[in-house]
Amino acid sequence: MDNLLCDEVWLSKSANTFEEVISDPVALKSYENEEFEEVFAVCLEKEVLCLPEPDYTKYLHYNNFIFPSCRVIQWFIKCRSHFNLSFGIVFLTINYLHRFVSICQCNDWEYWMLELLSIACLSIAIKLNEISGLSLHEIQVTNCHYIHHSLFI
Amino acid sequence: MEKPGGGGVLSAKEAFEKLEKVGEGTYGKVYRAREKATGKIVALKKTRLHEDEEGVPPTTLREVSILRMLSRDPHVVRLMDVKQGQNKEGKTVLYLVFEYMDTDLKKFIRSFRQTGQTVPPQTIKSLMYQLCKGVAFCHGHGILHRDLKPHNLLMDPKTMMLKIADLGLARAFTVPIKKYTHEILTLWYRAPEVLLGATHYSMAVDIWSVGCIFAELVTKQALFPGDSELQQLLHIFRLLGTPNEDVWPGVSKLMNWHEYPQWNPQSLSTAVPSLDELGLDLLSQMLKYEPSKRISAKKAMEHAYFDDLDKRHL
Repeated sequence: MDNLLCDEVWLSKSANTFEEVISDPVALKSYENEEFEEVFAVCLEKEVLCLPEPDYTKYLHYNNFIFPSCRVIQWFIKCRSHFNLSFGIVFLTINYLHRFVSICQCNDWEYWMLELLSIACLSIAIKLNEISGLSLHEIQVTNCHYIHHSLFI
Repeated sequence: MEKPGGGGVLSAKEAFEKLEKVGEGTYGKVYRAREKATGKIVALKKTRLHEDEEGVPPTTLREVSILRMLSRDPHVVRLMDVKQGQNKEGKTVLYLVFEYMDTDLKKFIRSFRQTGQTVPPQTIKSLMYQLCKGVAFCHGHGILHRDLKPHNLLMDPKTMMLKIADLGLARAFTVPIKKYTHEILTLWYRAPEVLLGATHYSMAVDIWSVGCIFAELVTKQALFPGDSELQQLLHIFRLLGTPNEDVWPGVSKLMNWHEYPQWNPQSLSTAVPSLDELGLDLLSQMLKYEPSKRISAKKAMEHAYFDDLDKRHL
């Protein structure tokens, strides 16, 4: 649990999704454009703080991370359609995964570690951003080579 | 938080001495405690992790995530740390470590009710300004609170500082919303569009709650004390009049809309007789039926009701 916050700088901003649109246009009428511009500026500011460390792409190449990353992204997309999740979930999950890898850079990654991390990131993204949760077991049935015990995730 | 494996990491039990249980948050117990290293008094909010090993509950994840973003504002309770610990049965528990605040607005209002005194008008004005400022900060960062009520507004009675707490049900604007869990949330501060089953909330749901709290500060009684969703609506309709398509376009299409008894609107001064004209005007703008017509928290801060308030320390 000590890694829950990935050792990111305390009081940093959290990731946010931008894709969903407020569906009731009437609700927007009374608010000043000025206020929305301010909120938008805050969102842009947050986005910078949710990026991986500098030189991260070099690290990915050096550690042969590109291809395995693409495999897990394909899995996230498959999960999205299988469980009817929002597209924002895929974005957030990938963001969480790369932020974590960026902060905990080590040189001994193996594919099973990436798979385990992927499950954890998807679970957290669902918990934060969906109405109903999915159990860790449900998440895994779509792809994994073997089921990780919930306790280890 | 400290890195894993470091020798200096203390578990919650080692780092804090629990002094007393002071309440229950939305989903967990809250304790007053002393940090052993510094002697500082903090509030520990305990969250037991699920039996099924599904990790940290969504409400706690959201609260931590949102509080990390919002704790910079002086009117949102400050989350200082997150600690892992174990309870007596060896089960893992998570502690959110907050700055400690001596009381909350619910207790504050109750103390005036018991002595029969009214809350001084300038105190009401100061508390309301701080509340609007804290809510404006949350909304400016894309966060709805959704459970504003006197119990969730912590206070320091010496300085009259007010802070928003209990963001376990808070949401980013874009996150889909599950229907409220009936048993947990008090109805009294709930906006009519929520009661009528709207599924697309806006910042206006928090403004309605702020308006109800405003009236309660003045009268020391809840403005709309319903004990069921229907009774809650009827309380509102008796004072503000039963809404129709003229005053609230779209109201009859809401999921829980039915035929209701028809009441004409009463003047707000009948419900809040001792509030002055400017206060009544601000309150009326907070209690508009149509969500898009309700005043924003930021605009409320600019309302003339607050003109004579010394804001330098708020």
